[in-house]
Amino acid sequence: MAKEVGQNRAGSMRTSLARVKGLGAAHHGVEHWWLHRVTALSNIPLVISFVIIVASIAGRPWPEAIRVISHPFVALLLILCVVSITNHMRLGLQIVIEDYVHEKGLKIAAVIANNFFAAVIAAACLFSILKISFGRVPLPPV
Amino acid sequence: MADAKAHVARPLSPHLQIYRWSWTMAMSIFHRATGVALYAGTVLLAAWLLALASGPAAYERLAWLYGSPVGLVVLFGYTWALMHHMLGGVRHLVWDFGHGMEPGTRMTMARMTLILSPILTILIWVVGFAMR
Repeated sequence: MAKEVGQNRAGSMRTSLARVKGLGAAHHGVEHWWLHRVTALSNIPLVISFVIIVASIAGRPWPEAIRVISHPFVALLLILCVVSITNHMRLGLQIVIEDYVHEKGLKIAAVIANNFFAAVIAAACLFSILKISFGRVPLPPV
Repeated sequence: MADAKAHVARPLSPHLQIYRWSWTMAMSIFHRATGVALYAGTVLLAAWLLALASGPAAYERLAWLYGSPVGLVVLFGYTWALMHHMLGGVRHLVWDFGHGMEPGTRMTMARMTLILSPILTILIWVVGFAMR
C-alpha cells in the first residue's frame, strides 16, 4: 500500500486518499460553488412565486394579507424561498468579502458577520411566516 | 511569511481600470452590485413579514412607509435589482455549463439582461397596480 502512495499517477504528488476525496488543496472541494449554483436554480421558481405573492398582497389591508400568507401552499412557497435566498446571498456575499477584504482578521470577522446576518434574516422571516400560518395572529371574523 | 511576501514585487494581474469596457464586463459588475443590494434589501422583506406577524397597527405603519414616494422608489429599484440579478443568474448558469460563450452570443446575452430587466420590472408593477 505504502509503495503506491504518490505513485497513483505519473508525476502526481497526490496521495491515493486525496485523489479519492477529490477535495483539492483547500479541503472544501466545490461545495461552496456548487451550493451557490443549486440555490441559484431553486431561486428562479421561488423568486417568481414570491413576486406574484407580494404583488397580490401589496396595498391590501392587513387581514387580507394575513389570509393570503396563512394559506399552506403560499406559506410553504415563502418558507422555501427564504431558505433558498438566504443561503444564496450568504454564499454570494462571502465571495465578495473574500475578493475585496484582504486583511485576515477583518476578513474572518466579515465572513462571520455575513453568516450571522443571513441567519437572523432567515429566522425573522421563517418565524413570522410560521406565526401567521399557524394562526397565532388574531384575525377578525370574515 | 507576511514580511517575506512584502519584499518581493510579484507581478499582479491588472485590475478593472486597465480593461476596455465590454457588455459582459459591465453586466458582470452590475450582477455583483445588484446581488449586494438585494442582500441589504432582505431587511425590507424581514421587516414586512415581522410587521405582518405583529398585528394590524405595526403593519399599517410599515405599509405607510413602503407606500410613501421614497418607499415606492426603493421597492421599484429593488424589483429591478431582483429581475436583473435573476436574468444575470440565468445567463451565468448557461455560461457555467459551457454554452453561449461565442463572441456575438455572449454580448447579446449580456445586453438582453439590461433590456429585459426593466421590461419585467415595469410589467410586474403594472400588473401589481392593476390588481388593486
